[in-house]
Formats: sequence, structure tokens, C-alpha cells
Amino acid sequence: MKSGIHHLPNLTPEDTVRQYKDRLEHACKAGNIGIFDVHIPSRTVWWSEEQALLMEQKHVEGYIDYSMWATHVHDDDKKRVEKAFKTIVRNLSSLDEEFRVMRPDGSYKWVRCKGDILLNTTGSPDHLVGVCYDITERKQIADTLEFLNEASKILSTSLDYKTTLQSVSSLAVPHIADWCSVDILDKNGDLQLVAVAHKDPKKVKWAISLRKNTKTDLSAPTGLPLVLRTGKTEYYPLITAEMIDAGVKTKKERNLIAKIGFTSIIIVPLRSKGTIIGAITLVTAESKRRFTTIDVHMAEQLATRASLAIENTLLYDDVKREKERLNDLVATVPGVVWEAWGNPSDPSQPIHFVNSHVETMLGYTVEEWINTPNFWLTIVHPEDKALAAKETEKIFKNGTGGTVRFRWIAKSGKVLYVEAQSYVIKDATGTPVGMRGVTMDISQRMELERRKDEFISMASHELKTPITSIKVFTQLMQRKISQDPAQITYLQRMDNQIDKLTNLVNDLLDVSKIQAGKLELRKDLFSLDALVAETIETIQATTKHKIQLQGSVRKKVCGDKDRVEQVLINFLSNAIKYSPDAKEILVSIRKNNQHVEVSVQDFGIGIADEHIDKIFNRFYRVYDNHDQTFPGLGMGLYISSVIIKRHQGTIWFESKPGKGSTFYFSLPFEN
Amino acid sequence: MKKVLIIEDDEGIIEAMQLAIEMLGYSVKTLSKGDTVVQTVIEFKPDVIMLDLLLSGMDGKEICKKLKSTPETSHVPVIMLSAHPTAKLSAKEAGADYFLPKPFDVNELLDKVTALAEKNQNVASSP
Repeated sequence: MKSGIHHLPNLTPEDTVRQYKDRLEHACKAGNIGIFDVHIPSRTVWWSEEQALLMEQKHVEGYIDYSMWATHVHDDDKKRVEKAFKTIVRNLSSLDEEFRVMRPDGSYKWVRCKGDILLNTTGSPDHLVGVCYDITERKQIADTLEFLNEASKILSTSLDYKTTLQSVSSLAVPHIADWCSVDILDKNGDLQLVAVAHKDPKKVKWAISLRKNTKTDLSAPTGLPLVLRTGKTEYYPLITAEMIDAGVKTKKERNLIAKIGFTSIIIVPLRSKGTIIGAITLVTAESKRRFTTIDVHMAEQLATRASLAIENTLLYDDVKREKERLNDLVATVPGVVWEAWGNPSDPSQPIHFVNSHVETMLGYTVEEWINTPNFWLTIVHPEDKALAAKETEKIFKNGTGGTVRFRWIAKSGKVLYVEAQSYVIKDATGTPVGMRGVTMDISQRMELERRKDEFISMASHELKTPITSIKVFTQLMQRKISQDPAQITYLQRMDNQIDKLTNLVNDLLDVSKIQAGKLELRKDLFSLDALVAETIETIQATTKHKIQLQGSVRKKVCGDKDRVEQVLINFLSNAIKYSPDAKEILVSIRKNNQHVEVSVQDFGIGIADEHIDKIFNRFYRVYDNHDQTFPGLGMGLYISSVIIKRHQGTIWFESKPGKGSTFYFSLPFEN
Repeated sequence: MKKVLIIEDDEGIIEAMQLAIEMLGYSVKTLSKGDTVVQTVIEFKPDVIMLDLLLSGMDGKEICKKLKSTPETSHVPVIMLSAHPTAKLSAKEAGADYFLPKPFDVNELLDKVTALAEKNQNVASSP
């Protein structure tokens, strides 16, 4: 009782042993567990009925030759197990081996053998005793899981689904199936064999040529056509002769099927966006393995994953095509199209994208642009660098976008004038995070503008030479002719017209100077009260309008008196010109914070809203609704705005069509 | 008789100015190039010099500087003329006594010439 074994009452020890033996046999039968006992010195083996079944052998009572164990073991596994046996006998360790046993129909099962060495009284190995059991199902599940894992990995790595499906098919063979093929319905609804695998490449070639030469009948009642129609899995665990007879139409087909030797088939549909786009076919043939419901489940899992991968690759193809289209489009832009992230003042700021035009325009490769932080700034002309960086940062921080002009030095050393139009990229909260834009080569335009300005400058200078002598002669004539009042008036008018001509030429000259950046300003302190009064006096002599002056500031401003006078004359002559029917013009001068503000108000035609933004532009002219034109070249207000801005002042206007306009300028005064 | 030297490369302007100044009863000599100006001034002894700022050949500013730095000619008042109305600054820098933008008012020209000729008379006769 101490050992814990309960002896049944009234039994002899022999009976007890028999009873234990019976129980063990029943238990082993119920669990499909085989028992074996190898007698090592005699190289013989004893095995139980279950063990014989597992090894696909007849059961024999007593010990048989040891070599018998391997009779139906898979050729690929024999040597490994033999070697393991020798090792454990030598090392007196335990046996734990898995191997395949071939069934009479050519299929195989997996078994696991576990055993221990028993020693004799002298300590040498005497027996190897152990058990053996069928692990086919477990092995299959493990294989299936491993296969699905591997298949998933392959499906997610490549974006070319045809290649991917071929890899998955090859992976399925031979552990999962003897044949694996994938068919996809193309745009025309025709079936395309995109992948086929078999362990023998010759057979693959044969299958491909076979498919090429025979068109699949998509209306067939069974098999692949049925799956493509219904979208449901077809599962044929065992293909019988009757099934083949029912399915084939010609003798040729029958021969073909016989040649392949179908055992078991699974066909699972592939879907994309709800439509059936193809199917995966798994076939066992020469292995004689029959697919089980585990295989069906696995095949469906595989189909789901493959479908997803196909859908992804199709989406990716769409995106890729769209991207290529955009790239082609961007490449045709005759300027540098770029995108950059981060703050442009950050020296490590990376350019995220530039189009290939950079190579044509500047000789630097796209790679050089992408890989060098802030590359665009490194090739800016040294004189322009600080300003270009500052202006760009301003555009970025304001978030409004804008235009910056600077010079780039190409790889060849050539200097290019460029104009960068930038747009600010913002995040969801509206914070600037990057910029994109187009930078165009405007060298040619700049050169043309430079030549035009040079021409204007030269032309206005040349024009003045004859004007000078005309004026002198006119005035000399005035001095000589003093008796005839009509002649005096005519000569006075001639002289006035010469002055107008002179002003036009001077305006042209000013515009060209501004464009060339050569407008120089003197810096003197002068009284704005005095200047306004003097100018009104001069202009009053030339007009019938009554010019009224209001206010005074008793402040001095610093700047170019002649230029400020020019602005005032421009305001006054515009007021006269655009209020032909009015009687008066109001000029007022007042203090506003640290500025002196001067305004000129007329009661004339006024300015329509559409002109508001452009009125200070170069060569901009206002036409009224009745197409009434007023003389002028559209230079006066442009020159005035430049003069005022150069004095750190402000220029603006208020206007109502039909009521009149008020033009203002304000300049900072000196304390 | 007061004397005025005009240095100007446009014939039309030379003719008009000569006519105007001669109306004052002055004697006028004209030059269309600047290379012999200093020598001419020394020999002709003008009371006023009219000098175009942008001459073909020698720059009017250079001529003015040379005149003002030569002891024999430095006392002669120079009126500089230019079609660039803003050239006033460079004229002053070159040492000109007065600047007239082209086209100019004849009355202004004659007033200035008279005033400077009188002034030069005083300077010349003071020692």
C-alpha cells in the first residue's frame, strides 16, 4: 500500500499483471498510441498492434528484426531517425523524433516517437522503450499557420501582385498542395493565368502551354467557372472516376485529367471591392493527400489575404500612375517647382521635392537639391543672400505667400535673375509648416526691362535737347515781340506746352530711374507748411480752380524737398485734371501722431472701386464709364508712391465715383 | 564787355544760348569739346562759364573739377546745365556755382549769368 498501488482483492500477481496489461492496451487503442520496445543488443523490436498500424505494417507477436521499422517511413526521414537512434544509444539520452509514414495509397501521415533507454545491470543500454502517435493534424495546422504567415509576409512586401502571387503559389508547393495556380479575370472578362506552381518546372511549363492552347469555358457547371460565378469556395475532397466522367466532354480532356491525376481540389475566390476578380486553385495529385476542412479554411484565409494585397497593389498602381502623371506635368513647367518643410530660416531646412528642371536651369541634379540642407540659399548670389532669406522667412511667417526676386548662380557660374512665387503650407491648426512654389528664370525679362529703361533714360535725355533750344527760342521771341497781345498769348501757350512736354519727359526719366534702382534722394530738413503754401501759389497761377489751404503743423520733415513738391504738384494737377467742372480744390495739412498728413481733395469724377488696388501701379490709367480719356501716361501716382515710400511715409486715397477723390500722403516729422 | 564761355555739344542749344546771352550785350565764345577748356579760359578770360554736365568726350564734371583746381581759372563762376533734373547734386560736388536743369527758363538763365558776372567782376577787381 505504501507504493500507492491498489491491488484488487483475491487476485494472483499474474492476474494483476495481466489486468494492467489489458488496461494499457485499451488505453493505447483508445488514444491511438503505439508502444514499442527495441532490444538493443539483439537489434530486434517488439511493437503493439497500434504501433504496427501507425507504421502501416502487419502486427506480429514477439520481437522482429529492428530494420523492419523503416519499411514505410518516408525516404527523406529515414536517415535522420536512424542517426538520432544511434546518438541516443551512445549518449544514453531520450528519443523524440517526428517522421512521415507512407500510406499504401501514396499519401503520408506524420508520427511522433518518444522513448527512453533502459540499462542492464552492468550499465550498458539494453532496451529502448517508448510510444508513438499520429501528429498529422497538428503538423498540418502548424504547417498551415506557418504557410499563412509566410504568405502574408510575401503579400505585404511586394507591390507587383503578379510576382507576389507567383511567390505565394511556389510557397504552397509541395507542403500544402502539389499544384497551386492563380487566375485573374482581366478587363475584358477573360481569364488570365497569373501564377502556377509545381515542384517540377517541366510540369509548370506544360501547364502554362496547356492553358494557352485551351480557352476555359466560363459557363462550365463545376470547378473554377462556378467559383467565378458564385464567389463561393468549391471543395472536392476526393475526385472520383465518376466525377471526371461527368465533367469531361472529350476523350482528350479525360486523358489530360488522367495525366494530372487529381486527388483533391480546393478553389477559393479572390475579391476586390466586392467583385470576384479571380480564384486560387489548390490541387493534390501525386501526393494522394486529401484536403481536409483545415485546408479549406486555410485556402479561404489565403484568398482573403491575397485579395487584400491585390486591392492594395491596384490602389498603389492608381496612385503611382497619378503621381507619374503629376510628375510629367510638373516636369513640363519651365521653372523650378519645389516643396520644402520647416522654417526657411532654419539652416538645416530640407527641400522635399524639386522637379527635373533644376538640372536644365542650374546644372545641379535633383539629388544635390534634396540631399543638401537649404540648397536653394547656398547658390543665391552673395549680394542677394541676406535679403532673399529675410523675405522668404517673412512670407513663411505671415502665411500669406508672396514673391521674392533674387539671383541664382548656376553650376556653370552663370548668374540668373529669378522670381520665386511661394505658397505657405499650413497644418490643421493653420500654423505654417512648409512652403511650395515655382521659381522662374526672369533673366531675359530683366534684360529686356533693363534695355527698355536704358532706352527710356536715353530717349528722355535726347528729347530734352531740342526742347531746351525750342524753349530758349520761344522765350527770346517773347522778349522781342512786345507790341502784339495775340502774339504774346500764343507764345505763352507754346511755352506752357513746352513745360508740359518737359514734365512728361521728366516723369519718364524718373520711372526709368526707379526701375534701375537709381532714384537718389537728398536729405534736408524743410518746413512742410512753407512747401505746401509755395506749391499752391505756383499751381494757382495756372488754373481757374480756387485752391483752399487749411491748417498748419509748424513741423519740419527730413527728405528731398523737390521730390515731395513733385508729389504735391502731382496731386494738385490730378485734382485739376479730373474735376473739369468743379470750382475748388481743398488742401489740408495736419499732425497725426508722429506724422504730418497732407491731403488734396477734388470734387470731380472720382475713381471706381475696381481701380483701387492698381492706381499706384506703373503705367496704370483710369478711364471713366463714358470712355472719356484724360491725358497722361500713368506715371505720376506711381512716381509719387515710390517717393513717399522712400521717405518712410504712407500714400493712400478715398474716392466716390461722381463725388470726387481725396489723395493723402503722410511723412514722419523731425522733433 | 562781359564775356561768357559756353561749353555744350548740341549746336541748337549753343545757338539759342549764344543769342540769349548776346542780348545782354555780352561777348560769347563757344566750345563743343572739353579738351581745350582750361587753355581757352586762361586766354579768353570769361566772366561766367556755362558748362554742360554730360559732354561727349570729356565729362563736364571732370572739366569743372579741373577748372576749380587750376589757380588761374578757379575764380570763374561755373553754371552747369543738364537734362537730368536730379544732376544738381553731382554738379555741386564737382564745384559748380549754380545748376540749371534743361530745359531752362531764359529769364532765369539771364538773371543768373548777370548776377554771377557782376559778382566775378567784384572778385576780380577786389585786390
